[in-house]
This record gives sequence, C-alpha cells and structure tokens, in this order.
Amino acid sequence: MESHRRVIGLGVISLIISALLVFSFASEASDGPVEVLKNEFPTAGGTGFTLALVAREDIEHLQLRFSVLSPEDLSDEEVADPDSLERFAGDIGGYQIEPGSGPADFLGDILRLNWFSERMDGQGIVPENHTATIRIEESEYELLLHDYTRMMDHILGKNQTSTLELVFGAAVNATGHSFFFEGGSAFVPYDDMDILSVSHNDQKVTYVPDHQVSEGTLPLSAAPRGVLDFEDMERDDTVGIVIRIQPFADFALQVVKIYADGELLDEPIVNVMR
Amino acid sequence: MVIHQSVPVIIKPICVVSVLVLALSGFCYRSAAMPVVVVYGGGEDELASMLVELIESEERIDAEVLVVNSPEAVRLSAAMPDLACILIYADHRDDLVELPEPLTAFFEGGGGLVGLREVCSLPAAEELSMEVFPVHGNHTLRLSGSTRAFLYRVGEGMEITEGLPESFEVLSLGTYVSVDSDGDPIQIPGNHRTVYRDAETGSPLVVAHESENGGRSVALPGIMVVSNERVDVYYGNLFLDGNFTTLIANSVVWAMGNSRFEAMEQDLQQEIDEFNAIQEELRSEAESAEGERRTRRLYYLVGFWAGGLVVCGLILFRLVLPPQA
Repeated sequence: MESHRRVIGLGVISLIISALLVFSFASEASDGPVEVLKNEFPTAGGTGFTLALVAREDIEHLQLRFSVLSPEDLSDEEVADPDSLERFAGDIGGYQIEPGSGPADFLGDILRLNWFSERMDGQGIVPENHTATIRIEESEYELLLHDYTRMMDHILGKNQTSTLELVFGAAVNATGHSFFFEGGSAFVPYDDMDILSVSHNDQKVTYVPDHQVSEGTLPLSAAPRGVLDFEDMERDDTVGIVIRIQPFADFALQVVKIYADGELLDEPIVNVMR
Repeated sequence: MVIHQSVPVIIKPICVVSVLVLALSGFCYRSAAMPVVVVYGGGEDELASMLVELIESEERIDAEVLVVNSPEAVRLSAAMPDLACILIYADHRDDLVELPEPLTAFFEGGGGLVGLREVCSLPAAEELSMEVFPVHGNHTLRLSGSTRAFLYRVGEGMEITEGLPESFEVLSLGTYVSVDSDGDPIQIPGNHRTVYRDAETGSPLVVAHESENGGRSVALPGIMVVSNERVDVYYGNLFLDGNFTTLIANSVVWAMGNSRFEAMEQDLQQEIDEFNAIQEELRSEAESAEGERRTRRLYYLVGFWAGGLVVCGLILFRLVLPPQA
C-alpha cells in the first residue's frame, strides 16, 4: 500500500513537471510578428492571386506594400558600356553580362539610374535595398532591388508616386544571364483587375470594375494602388487579399513587402509571374 | 536615354557627349534649393539644346536646367522634389509613351509644365491633352504658302503676355484644334485661359491652366516645326524671333510659380525628417511592446512554475516520503 502511494506520487510529480516544461516551450515567442499562411500568384494563364497572413502578436500598424516590375529593354544609349551587354532575343530575352558580375554591377551600368540616385541622394532621399534569390526558367538568379516608393509616398503623396516607376531591380544568374526590371506600386501587372478583395478578420472590402459596382462593393478606381494599411492588429488577427485578373501570359515580378510597426518582416516576398 | 546639364547648342554625336556630361553631373550638383527645369525635346536633341540656351539666357530664371531625351527619364524626373518645371516639345506620339498618367499626376500635385505641339494632340497625348494642356486636339489645322505662320492675337492678358505685342507672327506648319463631327471648332470647357488665339480662325494658340492644387501649365499647340534647315518652318528660325523667345521664357517663368516647388523647397527636409521620425517611433514602440510582452511572459512562467513546484512539494511530503513515525 505504502509503495503504491509512492509510485502514484512520483508519477503525479513527473506529470506536473512535464506539463510545466511543455507550457514553457509552448509559450515561447513566435518567429515573427506576422506569419504568411498562403501566397498564391498567377503563373502561365493564371488569373488568381491570394495572400493570407496572421498576426502572431499585437501590431499597431501593419503595412503591405505590393509592387510589380517588368523586364525592360535597354538601348545602347542607356548603358555606360554598351559593349559589355549582349542582348538575347526570343521568349525570355534578357542580357548576357560578364560572368561573375552581380546585380549591383548591372544596375550601376545604367545611366539614368545613376543620375537619378545621385540627385536623390543629394537631397537625402535613399532607396530601400533588398536582395533575394529567385528562380526563372529553372535557373537561380540573385536579385537586387532599389525601392524609392516608401519614402516618396511620404514626400509626394501616394497619388503621385503610384503613377511613377520608382522600383528598380536586376537579376543575374551564375552564367551572367541577367534582367533589368523596372516598376512601381501596384498589386498586379494589369491596370484592370476583375476583383480586389481585402479582408481583416470578418471585415471585408471588395472592389470591382466601376461599371459593375453594386451594393456592398466599391469601384476599383477608388481602390488603393499597391499599398494596404491595417491599424491596431491583435494577436491571431487575419488579413486576406484576393485578386482576380485576366489570364496572365507575360513575365513580371510581384514584390510584397510586409512592415509590422515600421519594421520590414524578413526579406520581401518575390513572386515570379511567368 | 540621355540626361545632361548645360549642354551647348551643337551636340553630335549626342550619345558620347551626353555620357561624358552625365559623368560630370554629380560634380556639378548644386544645392537642393535650386529649382530644376527639365527640358525634353522628344527626338529633337538640337531643338532641346536651343530651348536650354533660351532658358539659361533668361535673367528671370535662376534654375538648373537638365536635358532628358527619353520618356523614361522624364518620368523619373517627375519624382524629383526640386523639379520646378518640365518643358516638352514632342512631334510624335512615341515621344510620349507612358507619360500622360505621371505628368497628369505631377500637374495635379501642383507641378509646372510647358508643352509644345504633340502634348496637345488627343490621340497622342490622351489625358495629357485634356487635363494638363486643355486643347483636346483631335484635328490638325495645317498652314500653306511659302512662309507659314500664325498671327497670334492676345486673348486673356496675363503674365505670359508681358513684353509682347497685341499681335505677332510665329512660324508653324499648323496647330491642333478641337472640332466636332462636322469639323466645327469646339469651345473647351474648364478653368483655363486662352492667352493667345489665331487671328484668322480663333483657334487657341497659348492656353494657360491651373490645377486645384496650384499646378500650372502652358499649352502651345501651334508650335509645329521641323529640323530641315532649308524650309521656312525650320525650328532654328523660331529662336531668331524675339517674340517667340519671350513667349517661351514668360511661359516657363509663369509655370515655375507653381505650388509644388514652393512647398518642396520649404518642407522637403522637414518631410524627410518626419518620415524618419515616424519610422523610428514605430520601431521604438514595437521594441517596447516586445519588451513588455517578454516581461509578462517571464512573470507568467515564474508564477506557473512556483505553483507547480508547490503542488509537487505537497505531493512529495504527503505521498512519496515515508510518514514520520
């Protein structure tokens, strides 16, 4: 009888200590303030885009910044050393630069960017610089982005910056195949979306083409252009963005940046839409 | 794409020179308070250089003058806070690719523009020809004869007419006008002033417009000239005409009185500081919230463990350790 009591007592103590340990680890801080639950974007012929997030802690101000960049052609006059670039024709295009050169070398060769960044630097306006690794046609590219949109939104206002292309990027792979990208604040490559739906928990706002507006929807002409702000987010709050576009048959990068209380969450999400 | 500063009139080959000057532009940079006038000549680099020379020789304009020769560079320049005016001459719609939307936003945001020729054409310039340069030019009125020119007659007098006669001739191939389906001229509604009209047809030749936010634009649809020196409407001949140069200088001076540059000049540093302060405040708030969260968690765990250990102690003394005899 005595030995049974001791065994039961030790068992209960073990259970309690195990529970304490489990609770301690379970309440450990999450990896970040926001977790991306879903990120679907259109590839060849696709029409849908979905981004879903959940807050892992209270966030006073959550900002999602979308930009879309397209590969751009560069004329000989636009680069400092035209002989250093070999152009590829065909489906994917791009340029051949010296193997071993990086995206910073490529961007540094583009005259108008040098001129622009010098002038902006002179006034204390500096871009946010980001790096990422992306896959294009089964090849890995190192991507460098210079993004002026956030500070310029504050200086010029979103109405003006949303019409300007203030995000520049270069992607270079190991063999020197490269792309120059240029773009601005936007959700998707097309100006015309079929639908844009933005939700915060149960609250949902749906934008539709102006001529299709009905009760409970708003016109797309009044929709934000690539920048979404959410205030006073609480732990476990969810945010969802759903977009439908016409079938996509082009090549573009969609960049999503998540700022929790002014702090960029990791590196930007870069969706290669092709 | 070319961007360069203070270029001489004769620049060929343009690429080599512009690259060289571009390389020097960083060293030539002046203070942020100096207003910038951007000149875009479409594909006409020599005409752009003549416009630069005209602006630089004008005493009333104390500005840094930049020449750009691609729509992409015009678009980029529209982001510059120290930009006071964009002067555009375009003779083809390709010169205006992807410019209507950003330039309209620039004007509506309080910017200043002076536009010659194609920017007034509805098919080429789309919303630009309606919202910024309100000519709505859907038809070209062409001149003929050995010396082609419009007789400018003053309409609504304002700063742009200062120093100019009541009427004067300016060389041109023609002008853009807005007509209905019967070909009759249409009066363009809106808050703008027709400063000069064609004495013969009454078509607007200089239109001044202001946006709600203090943007200023001057449209000159009837400056249609060519690069061929052997014809009467060679653009070089325009710059020999004092009335034309005064008209352009007056237009630039008036457009530079827009609200955007004035606001930027006063507030730019404040805006940048404010932006940085907001980001810093958000960051420090996030850090302090994170600190509070960690402290709360620590207290919670300490309490939880203390409670757990007390229960363990009770069990130990009541059940595990042998009872005292």
